Amino acid sequence: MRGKHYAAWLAGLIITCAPAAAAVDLFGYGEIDNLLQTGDETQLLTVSKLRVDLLSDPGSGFSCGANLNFHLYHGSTSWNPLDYIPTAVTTAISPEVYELYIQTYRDKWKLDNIWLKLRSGRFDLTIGKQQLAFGSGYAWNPTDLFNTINLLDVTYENPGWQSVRLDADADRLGSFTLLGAPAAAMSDATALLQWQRNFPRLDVALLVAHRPWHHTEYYSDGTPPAATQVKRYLYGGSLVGQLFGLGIWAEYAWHDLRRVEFGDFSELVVGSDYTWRNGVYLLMEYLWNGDGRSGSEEYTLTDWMRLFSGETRSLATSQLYCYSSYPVSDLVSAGVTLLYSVSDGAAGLIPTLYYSPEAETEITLMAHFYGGDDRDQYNTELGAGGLLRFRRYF
Amino acid sequence: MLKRLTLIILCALPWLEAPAQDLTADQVMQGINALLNLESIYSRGRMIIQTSSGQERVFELDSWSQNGGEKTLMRYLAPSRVRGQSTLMLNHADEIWVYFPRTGRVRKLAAHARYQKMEGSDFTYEDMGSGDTFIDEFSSRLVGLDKKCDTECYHLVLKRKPDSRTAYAAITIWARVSDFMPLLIDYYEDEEAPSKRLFQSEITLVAGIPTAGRIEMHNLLDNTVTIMETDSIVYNQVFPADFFTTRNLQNLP
Repeated sequence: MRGKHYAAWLAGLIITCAPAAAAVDLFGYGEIDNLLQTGDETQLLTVSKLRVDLLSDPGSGFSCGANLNFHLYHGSTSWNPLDYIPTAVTTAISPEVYELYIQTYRDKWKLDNIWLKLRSGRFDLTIGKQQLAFGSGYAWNPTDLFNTINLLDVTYENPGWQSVRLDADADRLGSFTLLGAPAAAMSDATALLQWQRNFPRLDVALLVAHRPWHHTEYYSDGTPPAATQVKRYLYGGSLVGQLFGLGIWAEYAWHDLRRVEFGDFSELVVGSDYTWRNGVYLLMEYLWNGDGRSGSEEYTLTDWMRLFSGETRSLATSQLYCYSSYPVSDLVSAGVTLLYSVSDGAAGLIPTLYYSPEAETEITLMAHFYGGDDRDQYNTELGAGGLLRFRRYF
Repeated sequence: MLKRLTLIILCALPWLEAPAQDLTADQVMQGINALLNLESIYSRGRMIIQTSSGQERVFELDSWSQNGGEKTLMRYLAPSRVRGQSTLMLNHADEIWVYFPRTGRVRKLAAHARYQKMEGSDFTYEDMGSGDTFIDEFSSRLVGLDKKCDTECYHLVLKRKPDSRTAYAAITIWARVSDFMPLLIDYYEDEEAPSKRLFQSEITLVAGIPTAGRIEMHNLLDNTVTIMETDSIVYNQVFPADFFTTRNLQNLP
């Protein structure tokens, strides 16, 4: 059904873009990710990805684009999230139930984005699967109802989302974004309104949205996971500016859940960054997550699985993300990320090396280590690991 | 329209006809500033980075500027790695936004980013959006007339004013006597030796305005060079009111 849906989109795009076919640009990249994970056993997974972008911008206020992603998996293509959850949490799980959690990567292709954009004066209308990004945060975006950022790979692209988006410029009043994302049932659809204004040295955005909130409960006894969808309104905002030469930002979201058994909660992100003249860059960001737990003894199987699936941004209420980088030479930069769970006192470290041997080629080497105790968010049972990524653009 | 612009420049510089040795440092600086910061410019060209290891990186880009460089928009056309990435600078690069097409994100960079290299080149964001910096941030002294590149030039020394936020402690300029076109600029981060040196060459008249077809920035500390080559340039283009906005970062033609 989904395939038919995309095929219809693709056919529509081709028909619409046909007059401008001569102006369609083809570009993208090929990427090989080698992921190494140590733990009870060492696993090596190789992911080969080809991203093909199509873009047509013949002018006259009209443009369209799409991208296809092809993924091939080699090596340790099966993994079990339970292997990365502290034994104290999974001890009650029988071997039979353990098997139920195994996940397997299968080769796939995906029409990731396919959109059509109309521009007329003060209005931009974008229809289709498109990149959506909200909020000023770097590692966490409480006002982004669509994406959860992978802290190990913060700048990686997100999937496209089916939606209709209208951006309107209102001069001194700022700009407005109205967004709707369809769903099978009208009550499950997403509606979002954002107002944004650039003041001197300060950008402000306010946002109100409706999008269902998902909570999946996981059980140790083999009972299938129970997913609950709750009507949710989000009220939030963000700002970006500078203070005493430092870049500063903040982002806040209040999740108003319309089910008594799930309490409303809020999330707050504050961050700051600075670049020294010698090129050293430092970024610090703090997350307060009202959906998190105040200590590691409270983390449950459900909490861990919700973290892995992206239903929640963190296990702990209080988190810190620090990133620093330095341009070692014209072509090489080195960086290090520190993840620190303030609530349970555990930390993770992610050193990164980036090398661009040629204009269209990037090589990224990344490792990750965790030092927390048994039940902590960044506990040693997560195992050390690394990523070697080759990417070649065309 | 372009003729009118040229006329405006000439009217603004009534001392242009005065003997070269009679001009003051301020008058020469105003002449240079008027030439470098025209009302509006669109250009397409290439940025070639020669790395210290001898490699060459070529970027193709479009650039729009208005209000004498107070507002600047840039968009990379190539290589594919940065294709579609756009930068908006307002208030002479005091405020910078960068759009990343693959993630759909617009990130605002704080003022400290203005001192950073743009895409690894030898130009900083401050260099690209400097506008009236030479006049506002520096006090100037005319050393005299000097020969550079076989051309008679004004030799000026600029010193950073107290409380200035520019990265450069001093700047030395050699500008052609005939039309104030700077041929050589030395940038000093401290007052001992220049850290960067800029050459302008292949100067032709475009719509009556002296225009450098090639700009070379030599980083004397890192031993790297960045060359800006202009393929086409249009002066005094009228841009829509909402052209220099974060919304338009994603919509550049």
